[in-house]
Amino acid sequence: MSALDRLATSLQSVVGEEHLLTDAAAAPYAVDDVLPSLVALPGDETQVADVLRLADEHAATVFPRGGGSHVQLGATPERVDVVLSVERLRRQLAYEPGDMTTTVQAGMPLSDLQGVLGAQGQFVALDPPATAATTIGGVIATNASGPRRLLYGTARDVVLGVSVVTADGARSKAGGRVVKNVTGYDLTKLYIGSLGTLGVVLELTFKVHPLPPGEETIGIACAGHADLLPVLNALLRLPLRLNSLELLNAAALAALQAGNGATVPPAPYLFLARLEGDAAVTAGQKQRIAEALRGLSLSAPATTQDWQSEDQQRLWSCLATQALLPDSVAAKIGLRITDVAAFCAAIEALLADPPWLLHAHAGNGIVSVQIPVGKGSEETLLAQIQALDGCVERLNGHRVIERAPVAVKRRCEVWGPVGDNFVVMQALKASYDPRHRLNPGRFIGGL
Amino acid sequence: MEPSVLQELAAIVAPQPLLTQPEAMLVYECDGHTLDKAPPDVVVFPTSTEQVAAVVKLANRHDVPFVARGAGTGLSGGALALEGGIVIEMCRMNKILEIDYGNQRAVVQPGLVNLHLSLAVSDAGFYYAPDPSSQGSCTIGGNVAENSGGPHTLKYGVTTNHVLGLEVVLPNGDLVHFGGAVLDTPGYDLTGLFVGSEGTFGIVTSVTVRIMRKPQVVKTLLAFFDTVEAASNAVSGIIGAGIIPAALEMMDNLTIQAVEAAIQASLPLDAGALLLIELDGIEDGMEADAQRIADICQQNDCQNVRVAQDDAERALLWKGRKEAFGAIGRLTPNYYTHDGVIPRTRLPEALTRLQIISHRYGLRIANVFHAGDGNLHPLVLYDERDGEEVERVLKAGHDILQACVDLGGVLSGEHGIGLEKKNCMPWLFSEGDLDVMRRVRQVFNPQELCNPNKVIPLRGRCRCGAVTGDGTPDHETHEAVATAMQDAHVRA
Repeated sequence: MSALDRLATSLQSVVGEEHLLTDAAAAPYAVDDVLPSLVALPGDETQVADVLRLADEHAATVFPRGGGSHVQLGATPERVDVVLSVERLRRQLAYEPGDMTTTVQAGMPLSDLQGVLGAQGQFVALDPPATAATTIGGVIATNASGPRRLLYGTARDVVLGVSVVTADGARSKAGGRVVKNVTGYDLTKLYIGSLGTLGVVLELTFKVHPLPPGEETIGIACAGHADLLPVLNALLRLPLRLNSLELLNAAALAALQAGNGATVPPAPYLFLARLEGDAAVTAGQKQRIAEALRGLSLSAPATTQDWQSEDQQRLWSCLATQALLPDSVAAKIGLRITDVAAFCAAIEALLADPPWLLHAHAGNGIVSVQIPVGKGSEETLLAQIQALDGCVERLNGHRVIERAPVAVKRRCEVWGPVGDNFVVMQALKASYDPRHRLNPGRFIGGL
Repeated sequence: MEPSVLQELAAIVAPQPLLTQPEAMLVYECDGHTLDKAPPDVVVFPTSTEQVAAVVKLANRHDVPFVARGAGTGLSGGALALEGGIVIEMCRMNKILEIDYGNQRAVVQPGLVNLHLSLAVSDAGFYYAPDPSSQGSCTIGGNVAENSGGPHTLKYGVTTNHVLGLEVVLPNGDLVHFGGAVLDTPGYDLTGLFVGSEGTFGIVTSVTVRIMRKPQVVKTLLAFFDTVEAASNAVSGIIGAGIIPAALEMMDNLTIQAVEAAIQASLPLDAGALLLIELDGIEDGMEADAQRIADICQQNDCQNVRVAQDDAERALLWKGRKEAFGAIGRLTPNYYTHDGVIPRTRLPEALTRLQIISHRYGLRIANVFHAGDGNLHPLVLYDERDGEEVERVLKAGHDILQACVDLGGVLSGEHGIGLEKKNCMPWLFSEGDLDVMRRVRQVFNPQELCNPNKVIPLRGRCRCGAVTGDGTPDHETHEAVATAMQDAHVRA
């Protein structure tokens, strides 16, 4: 009997036969096409700890998983012994609307949580590209974010406390359930975006926000990249309650129109500015935007369009869906806000065919580029990534390949280069997971 | 400390002199937490990152503990040289290195005074949001160490939400960079981990912060209530209505009296409590929100709502709030400030518990706090010359923190754990939780020379030769959790 067979027997007694998947049943849980030997679906937190402890004892590697919508993030693993899915841990454990906090299990789908909070006029300010399966734990492990980060920040700004199981099966917690807290080291920040390499998150406490009383989206079409910086600067300077400021290029707009029925104007570039407030409050803001645009000297006058109610909802949900388009190389790029326009110009100058889709959180300097895979060969795609990297490097930015065909991922540095702080990251990983059981090799620098 | 070590130190920071005279050490024997005292052996004033790194490397070679210090306004003993050694005073590194309005950020040295950053960017229409009450003297580096808050953190978050990158001298003297001007740096969020590590993970030598555009309009309201219960209910009502003010502060009657005596702002001396409510943002909808708040206050038996008529009146009201601690000094020779946090909805219960504690120990307790986020600041009034009263103060403090924990809260919202509350950590965290924190500290600070023996009680470890303020050996007392905090203070 092999070590994995012995582990399977032990795991079966922990999670039950029906919650330990093998062979064909395990196939949907593949990590970058690498089939897991075992998939464990623990039903409670003790079982999670037991799975990790047993895997450690049997020298098996463990790949934590939520809903699988962002599982492509990370380098391709060599082999996958156990996928540990938290999908059965989906309860809300505490919610006091008056405190504006809630505690949930990691496997709770984000959309379920937003539904519960929405009934009380609240929401957790995280709006990453998501599917119905996307879990809270997955969002936190990948530090996924969305357009509303402009006003509300990212996971690090809304997670108050966390409970985790480390690779040895030990449970620990950090932070708390109150909105302001400096009691002990802020390990919650360390776990956010750590891709499950330090531990498996069990529970999370969030700060929640009141839903805005209303929203309206203004589209501002620009005739060319030269107009982007003045418009962006003008929008960021205005007194607005702006929760999102997105920028799309022509290819992204065309895909949006073709793909799922959102009505957007064709234009070289389009800003989407989403304003908060009831109709009276957004009217004043719209007026300021219109005045500011008239005051700019642009290559061509910027044209505007409004989206409200259902149209607006469809627009933003289509945008989120588009970010998860399969069959593309998706790169996330971080830049200075003032370099976004220069980056757009640089991408344009590459004359990629088919053209790349560019979608930026322009007010934050976070840009998503999607390179259509189509019939492009591995070599072509690698060359395109190299060209992209050139643009990023010239602007001192960073980039992560979030999705790509496995053959391409194997041949590029998905996280980009490491910095002088990598020694600290290595030491943290060694301290938390000295035997490299958790998601080995998938994170930055091969952690 | 060996004369040869002092000579080496002097050579590193020359021409800045060292401070070693015993009388000069009095300034550095404690910070804003004055119940514990321990003098360092020497204080150095580095003027560059290279000097900080060299001092730290020297300390490592000679196995000497060291502590970085900003303005010394901390309230939990974080800057106290518990085991003697070197205090690395960062106040000479106080320059603004870069301001980038287009990207809404600034790079500053750690010794820069918090308020000085806001003043420097004010003309361009910007400010730095975290505003601890000590912002006129506390430093950005100290704010990073403590993850400091302030009244406006209700809407805008605390220091960690505004720090984007750090240059850090690690406890072994190596220089590293965390985060930076660009968001979402790949890898672990070391910036987030470092902020609030209370000087135990290394020494910050440069900080990249977010600066924000000043709000278009600001509206400040004062609402007076007969009782703190009524004021607490109004707080719940405002939050429940989906309004997040920029600040939502409460003062009780004792504080109102002290503040009125200090600043003469025509505050009604018979009010049981007041709420200082500030709205900021765009002008659209502001009047309507202010009216909604006034209505909510009226529904909760408010005596009167006063709206600041101009910037001068607004400044006066805030002066009253920010200097409230100082104003309390009019009522008492000494006071002990607590910083517990409770879930907002437990505010009425918490205030009742505070009253009971006040009666139990025969001590006056003034309350001035961040009501919007449940961050209490009970000030226990006493006279340090009365040893018996000091003991009652410590017991009351113990009970206050216990009450916060009982109500689902935590030990500190913005002042830090430091030396003061480290022995209370097991009230909230299991040994397993604390072990994880200890291991993370070990990653940064394996020799435990960098601000030793803070934040987390050590496991059965006694550093030989360590002394406390009265010169007696410091035998760790953390095992007996309930009594340890009192012991620590009685020693001092």
